[in-house]
Amino acid sequence: MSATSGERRGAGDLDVHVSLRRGSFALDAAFLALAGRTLAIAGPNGAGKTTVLECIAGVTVADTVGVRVGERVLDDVGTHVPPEARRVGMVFQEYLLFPHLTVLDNVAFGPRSTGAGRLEARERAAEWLHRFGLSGLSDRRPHRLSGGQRQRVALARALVTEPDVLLLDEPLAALDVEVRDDVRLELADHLADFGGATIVVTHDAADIRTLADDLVILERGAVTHDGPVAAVFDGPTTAYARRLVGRAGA
Amino acid sequence: MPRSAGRRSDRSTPRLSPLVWIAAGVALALLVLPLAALAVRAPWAQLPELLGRSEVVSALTLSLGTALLSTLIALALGVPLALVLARSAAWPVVPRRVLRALVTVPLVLPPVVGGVALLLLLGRRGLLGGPLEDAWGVTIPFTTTAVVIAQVFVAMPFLVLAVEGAIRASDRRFEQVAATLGASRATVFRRVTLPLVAPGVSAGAVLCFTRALGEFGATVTFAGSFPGVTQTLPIATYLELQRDPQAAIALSLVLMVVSVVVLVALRDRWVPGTTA
Amino acid sequence: MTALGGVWSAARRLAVGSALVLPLVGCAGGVDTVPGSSSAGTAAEEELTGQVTVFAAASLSDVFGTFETRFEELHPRVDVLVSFAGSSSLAEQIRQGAPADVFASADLATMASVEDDGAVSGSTAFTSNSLELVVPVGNPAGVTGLADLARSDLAIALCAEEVPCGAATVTLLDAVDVEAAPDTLEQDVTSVLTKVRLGEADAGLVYRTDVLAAGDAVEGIAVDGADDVVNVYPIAVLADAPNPDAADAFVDFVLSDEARGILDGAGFGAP
Repeated sequence: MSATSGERRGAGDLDVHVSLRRGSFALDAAFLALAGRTLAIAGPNGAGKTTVLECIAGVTVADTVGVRVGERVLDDVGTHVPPEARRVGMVFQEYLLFPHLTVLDNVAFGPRSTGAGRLEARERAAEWLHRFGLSGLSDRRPHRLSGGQRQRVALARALVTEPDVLLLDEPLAALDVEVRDDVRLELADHLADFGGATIVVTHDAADIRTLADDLVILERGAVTHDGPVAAVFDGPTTAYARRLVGRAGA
Repeated sequence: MPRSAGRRSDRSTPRLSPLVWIAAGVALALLVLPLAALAVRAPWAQLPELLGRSEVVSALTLSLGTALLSTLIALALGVPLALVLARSAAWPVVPRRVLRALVTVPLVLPPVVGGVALLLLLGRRGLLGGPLEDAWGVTIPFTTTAVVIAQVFVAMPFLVLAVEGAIRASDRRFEQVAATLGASRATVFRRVTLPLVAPGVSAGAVLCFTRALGEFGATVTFAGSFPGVTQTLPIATYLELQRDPQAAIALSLVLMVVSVVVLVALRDRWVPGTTA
Repeated sequence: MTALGGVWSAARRLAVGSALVLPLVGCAGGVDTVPGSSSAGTAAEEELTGQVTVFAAASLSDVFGTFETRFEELHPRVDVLVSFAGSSSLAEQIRQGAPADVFASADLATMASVEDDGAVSGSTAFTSNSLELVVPVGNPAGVTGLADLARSDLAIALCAEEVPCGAATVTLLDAVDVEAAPDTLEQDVTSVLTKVRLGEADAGLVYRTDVLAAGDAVEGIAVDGADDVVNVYPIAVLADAPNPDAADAFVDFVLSDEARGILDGAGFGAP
């Protein structure tokens, strides 16, 4: 099922192969996420979606992991680039904005941690906040933001570090249903501006349609579908995939 | 304001049952009434004269100084220990439980026994104290250093357990986020881990300071009691009890008031913003 | 060491708890010295029964333990219960209505405070205790007499002036005109003894009975003039004693020749 093949790999493409066993849970997935495109990973709960993202971000170590961005090896036999050196940005579920820092300092955290001076870091942060329409909220603490605002701050915080790869773990799940559609459209705009490979984990068909170009479906630790969104939606082959694309019982 | 946040906080604070209120009231009464009795019976008129006595001033100064020093030492050593303890969750059962027990033992040990234990280790004939005296002529008992060591021994576990609880309760994913943003381990610890557990650290430090300030048993056993050197306010108070109980009540009141004042002052200084 | 520390701290905690509300009375009074009754066995003929609760100063633990055994042998139908604690703690318990029959205090002042409250009318001095120099085994600092307490190169442990043994210490040192250079002023005799036993202190002043009770763990050095500064122990039957007959018999036994012998063996002096 995997679309991975060395010949197709471009400079910013993300090539992933993750394999691990934790008790009775086994995960073995391989796929390619192309630069400038958004790949959605869908699947039922417990399929291993978040684990895959964590392996790519380097915060979880699997039994065997192969992660490459273009020719840059992040994980291979005998190689593990630590998360802080991978240039992989991640927006976690619930966004995880640092509660002790203001919005501005949350976004400035990345530049500051990678060598920028305080002023420069804040300048770059302010620039991204401006781009995301969050300038007025710079001095707020995260707990005083709405869900949508938090999500944008988390995205700005990840993007300000200019990562090669952007990972989003269920970026809309923490939001109230009423605001989800607006936030989703806005998110799609921001993702469109990002030049690297983007991976969005979700189990919402609306997310996939609006945000993603390609789709990988992960079920019980294995890839069951992999291809452009339209192609997968045209021919779902498993019960989960059929339910996802709205063809249950069809 | 976000509706989701509002709803969540409503859900997390359900109405308390009347039984809870009653139990809480009894608990508070149990804590406060004895102190209130102390305050009622205190010879207030005697207080200014007592506070002016040189031995009271020296005992108070010694107590505050040693308790503060003990708290700083406990912070420097206890926070790393708390980190190790919090991470020990991933260890095999036996070493994890042994480590936890070792940290907790000074809490359940009668302080006097702790003092004897310190003597057996650091006394002139102690396992370490003996060689120390032979090699450098250094003796620890009957010195202010001994007071600080006794206080650290008795009070540090409070700090370690409070900080460890805070570390466990804090979301480790914040550290992962920080790492993906390019922060080195040291930066993560300094700018994320530590600030997030700051309320726990401050609570632990406060507990540690109060415990050190009130320390009696281990101090009197290990360090002895000599005015200006090792006789802290609790020891002076205890001795005064034998001679002039009224004065002793006044002294314990001083100890209480001083701890409350210091605690309030420290709290505001140490927990900037995290209370929001 | 551990057991010692536990008991010791428990006793101290009791003392702290009660002393907070305890107005100590400084004057001694109402004590008359009565020679011991010659026969400890007379009471047995009255067929004493029931339980006798004896509150005794902690320093009497060893001898009163023996008294309990002997008295129960003499009066098989009597059950003696002895509660040991600091004299002032016991006095406070008595004041608070503890159902005791007999009170044996380590000093006259505490007994006087109980008498003032009407819990006791008239007590009898039955023994006394005097101070002795105590040094670690082998006497490493070569201490020979009270004058050595003035040596600043030694680690000296004395009782604090606020507690009875410290008051006695001050009186004794004043009497022999020694300016002591203590390194620590302890809150009770046991603490002084512990410091000497562990070798932390080169010398200390404690009661003779404590030196004897400590056995081979320390060495005692008798000092001149100590016999002039004694601590007198009074005993009394409480006014509200639940079992006054047996209580009287127990006090008689404590004043008997047999008990005198036991007290002598433990290092206690004449009343």
